[in-house]
Amino acid sequence: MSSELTTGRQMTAERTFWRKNSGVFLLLTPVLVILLAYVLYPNLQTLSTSLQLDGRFSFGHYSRFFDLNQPASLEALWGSISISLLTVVFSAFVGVPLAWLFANFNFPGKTFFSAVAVLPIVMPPLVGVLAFLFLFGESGILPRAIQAMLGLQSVPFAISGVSAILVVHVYSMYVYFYLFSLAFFRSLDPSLLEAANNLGASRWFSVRKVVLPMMTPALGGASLLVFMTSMASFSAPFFFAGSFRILSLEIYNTKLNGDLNLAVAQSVVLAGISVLFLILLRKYSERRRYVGGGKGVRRTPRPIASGAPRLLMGMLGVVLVVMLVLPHLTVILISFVKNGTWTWQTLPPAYTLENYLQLFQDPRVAEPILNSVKMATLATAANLVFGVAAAYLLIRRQFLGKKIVETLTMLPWAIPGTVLAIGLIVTFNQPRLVTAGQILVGTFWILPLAYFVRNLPLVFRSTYASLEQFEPSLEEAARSLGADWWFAFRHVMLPLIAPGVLSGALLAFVLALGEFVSSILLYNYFNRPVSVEIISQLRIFNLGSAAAYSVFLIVMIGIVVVVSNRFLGGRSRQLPV
Amino acid sequence: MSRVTLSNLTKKFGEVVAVQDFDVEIRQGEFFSLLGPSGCGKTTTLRMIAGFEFPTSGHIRFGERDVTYLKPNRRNAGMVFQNFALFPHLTVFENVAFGLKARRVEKATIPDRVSKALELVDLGGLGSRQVTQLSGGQQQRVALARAIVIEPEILLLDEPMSNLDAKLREETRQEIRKLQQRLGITTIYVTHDQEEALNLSDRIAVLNQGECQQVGTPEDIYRRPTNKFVASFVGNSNILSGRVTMAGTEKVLQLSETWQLHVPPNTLSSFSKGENVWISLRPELVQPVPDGTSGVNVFQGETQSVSFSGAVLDYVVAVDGVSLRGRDLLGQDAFGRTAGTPMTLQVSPDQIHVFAEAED
Ligand SMILES: Nc1ncnc2c1ncn2[C@@H]1O[C@H](COP(=O)(O)OP(=O)(O)OP(=O)(O)O)[C@@H](O)[C@H]1O
Ligand SMILES: [Mg+2]
Repeated sequence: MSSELTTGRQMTAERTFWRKNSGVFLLLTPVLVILLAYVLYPNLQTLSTSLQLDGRFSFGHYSRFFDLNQPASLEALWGSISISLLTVVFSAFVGVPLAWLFANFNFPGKTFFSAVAVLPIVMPPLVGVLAFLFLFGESGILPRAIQAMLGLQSVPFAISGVSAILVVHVYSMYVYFYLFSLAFFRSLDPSLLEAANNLGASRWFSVRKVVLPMMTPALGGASLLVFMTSMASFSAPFFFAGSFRILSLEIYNTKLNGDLNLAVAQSVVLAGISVLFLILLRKYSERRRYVGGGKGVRRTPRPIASGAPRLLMGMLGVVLVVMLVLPHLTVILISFVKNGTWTWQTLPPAYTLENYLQLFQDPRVAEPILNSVKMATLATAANLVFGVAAAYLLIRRQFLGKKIVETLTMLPWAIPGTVLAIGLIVTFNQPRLVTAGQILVGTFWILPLAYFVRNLPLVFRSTYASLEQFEPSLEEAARSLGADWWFAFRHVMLPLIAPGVLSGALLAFVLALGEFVSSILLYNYFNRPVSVEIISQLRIFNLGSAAAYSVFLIVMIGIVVVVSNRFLGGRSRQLPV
Repeated sequence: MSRVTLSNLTKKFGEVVAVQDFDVEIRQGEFFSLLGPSGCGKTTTLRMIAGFEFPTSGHIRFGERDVTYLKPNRRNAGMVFQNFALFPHLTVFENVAFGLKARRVEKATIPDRVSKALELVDLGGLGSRQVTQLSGGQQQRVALARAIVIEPEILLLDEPMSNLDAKLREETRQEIRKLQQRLGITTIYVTHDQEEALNLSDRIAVLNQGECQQVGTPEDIYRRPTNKFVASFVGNSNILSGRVTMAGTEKVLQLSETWQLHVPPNTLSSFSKGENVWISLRPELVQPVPDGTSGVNVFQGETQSVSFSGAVLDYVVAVDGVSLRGRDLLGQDAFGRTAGTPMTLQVSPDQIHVFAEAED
C-alpha cells in the first residue's frame, strides 16, 4: 500500500518535471547536438590529431613546430605576431585621432564622412586586397601614374610584402579603434575636464591624468580585437606575403604540401593564441565602463567656423573619403577592362561590358555566383534557426550548462578561419556519426557547413541582442490571452525581434558570399565559390573578370547595408511605456 | 467566473522562499486583493495563478479544476500587467483582438466583440491608433479591455496603477471596481498600496515575507488585525512595547515607568500579569485635547513635530520619553503648535490591539 503510494507520487513528480521542462529539452537537444558535433568536435579533433604520432600520444608535431633547424613554423609565428603588433599601433594612430575629430567638431559633410569611415569593415578582405593590388601594386595605377608624370625609369614606389600587408590591415582594422574611441569620446563627461581645469590642471596635464587613464579600457579592447583579427588575417598575406612567413598562411601552405599533421600543430598554436586573447578581451570588457552614469552637460561638438581650419578639415575629409573609396572605385573600374588588354599602361586602355554580359551568357561564368548564393543561403538559414533557438534558450530559460552553451557559441569567433577549416578537414575527411556516416570533405556540403560555423557567433549575437531587448511580459501577455507558445512566438516575438535578427542574418549572408579562407581550403570544382573563382581568374590574368566578381560582392554588401539601415535599423519597437 | 482555491501553495527560488504554505479560497465573483510590502511574494502568487510559474508544492484550483501545472494559455485567466505589456507592433484594435485570434474565435464575431470591449473601457473609436500613441491611462484601459474581451474566468491585475499618476489612479480605481461588479468576474488584485486595497476589495490577504498573515474584509483587516505585522502595515499604527500590570484590580498596560494605559477588560483577558506585549495604537486614536482636560487616558506630552497634510494634521509627540504618532482629524488642537511645546492628549481606549511579545 505505502510503496504503491510512493511510486505514484514519484510518477507525478516525474510528469511534473517533464511538463515544466519539456520545452527546454526540445530546444536544447538540437542546439547542443549542433554545438558539440560541428563546433566542439572538430576543434577537439584538431587538438587530438596534433598530439598523435602513429596512433600514439606524442608531442612530435610540436617539436617539429619548435625545431630550430627547420624554423619555418617559428618564423611564421614571429611574423604573425610582429605584423599584428604593428597593425595595432598603426591602426590606433589612424583611428583615435579620427574619432577625436568626429566627436569634437562639426564640419560640412560630417554625416557623410562618418558613414564612409566605417566602410572598410564591410568590404570582403579578398576584394580589399585586390583593390590595393590594382592601386598600389608594382603594376598598380598610382605608382605608374607617378612614374609617367615624372618620367622615371621605374615605378617610384609599390607596396609589397610586409608593407602591403600592413597597409591593407590598417585600412580595414583602424575602424575598431575609430568606433571604440568614438564611443568613448561621445560618452566622456566634459565636466570631468572642467573639474580638472578648475583644480588647476593644464590641458595637457588633464589629458594625461584624466582622459588617457579613462580611455585605457577602450584602447585596450580595440587593441586586443585588432590583434586577434590581424593574427587570423589570411587574404592579405595570401597575396602579399611572398617569402615572408605568416602563421595563418603557413598552415595553408603546409597543408598544400601534404603535411597535414604539422598544419594541425600550427593550427593549435594559432588557435591557442587567439583563445588567449579572447579571454583577455572578456576580462577587459568586464572591467570597462568608467564613463557614463553622470548627468549634467552633454558634450556638444564645436562647430569649426573660421576659414583656415574649416578649409583644412574639408580637405582632410576629402582626402579621407578618396582614400577609403578609391579601392572600391578601382575595382569597379577594372571590372570594365577587357581581359588581357591592361599590361604596361597606367590606366587600362580598353573597356567593355563583356565581363558582366558573360555572367548571363556563359553558365560556367555564372556558376560560382550561383554556388555562393546557394551555399550562403543554406548556411544563413541554418544560422537563423540555430541563432534564434540558442538565444531564446539562453535568455529565457534556466538550465544547467548555460555557460557551456554560451561559450561554445562564441568559440568559432575566437578561432581563426584557417584553423576552423583545418578542423573540418581532419574531422570530416572520414565517415562520422554526426554526418550519418558520410565523408563531407570533397562534397558540396562541407562549404555550407564551414560558412555556418564561421557565422554562427555573429547571428547568435545579433539575435541575442534583439531578444534581450524583448520584454518578457509581452510573451506572457500573449500566453495568458490563450496563445500557445508557437502562436505567441509567431505573432509577438518574431515580428518584434525580426528587424534585429534579419540585419544580423543579412550580414552573415554577405560574409558567407565573400568568404575566402575556409573556401580555399575546402572547395572542390563543383562548388567553387566566388572568392575562389576570383583567384583563378587572377591566375590567368583575367583581371576584368576577377574585378567583376568582386563588384558583385561589393554590390551585395551595399544592398545589405542600405536595407539594414533603411528598413531594419533605427526604430526600436518595444514597450510603449 | 469561478472560485479559486490555493492550497499549501509554496514557491521557492533556490534558497529564497517567495511564497510559503499559502491557503485561501477566493470566492466566485469576489474582488480579492493581495496586499503586502515589496518582495513579500504577491507577484509570485499571481504568476502561479496565471501559470507563468509552477509552484514548488501545493495546488491551485479554478472551481473544481486543478490547474496547478496547466499551461497559461489553457487557464482562461485574463491578466493586466504592471507595465501593461501591450504589443507595440499592433494597433489598439489588434491588441484587443489578439486573444480572440489566438483562441481561434470565429473571425466574423471579432470586430464586434472588440468594439464592445473598447466601449466598456471608454475607448470606443480609438481602435485604429497605435498603442505607442496613447497616454498611460489609455494604455492601461487597452490592457484591461484586452484581458476582459476573452471573457476569462478570473481577472488578474498586478499593480495596474503603479504606472499612473496620483489623480488618474483615483479615477481608474473606481472604474475598475465598477467594471468588475458589472461583469461579476472573480478578480485578484495585487498591490502594496493599503488604501487601494481597503478601498476596492471585498476581501484582502495580507502577506509578509511569503507568508499569509491574515485574510479578511477591509474592515476586519483594519479594525481587527490578528497580529503585529498586519496592525502596523495597515493604517500605520504606532507599535509600542509594554507590559501588563495591575492598577488595583484592573489590568492595565504599562508603557513606561509612569505611563499607564487603560483598556477595555476583554482586550487583556487573555494576557496574564507581568507579560511583555506589543501594543498597536492607530494615530487617529491619539487626539489632542484642550489643556487642562482631565479623564481616563489623558496625558501630558511634548510636541516634537507637526506636519500639515491637507485635511488632517499629523504630529509626533513624546509622552514620558516614548514617541507617538498622532493624527488630528479636526485639524484644530494641534494647529500652530511648535516643537518643544507641551500638548495634552487623550488616547481613546477602544481599538487598541495587544499582541504577545513572543509572536513578533
Ligand atoms: N525568478 C525569480 N528568481 C529568484 N527569485 C525571485 C524570482 N522572482 C521573485 N523572486 C524573489 O521572491 C520574492 C518575492 O518576489 P515577488 O516579486 O513575488 O514580490 P512582490 O510582493 O511582487 O514585490 P513587489 O511589490 O516589489 O513587486 C522576492 O524576494 C524576490 O526576490
Ligand atoms: Mg510585484
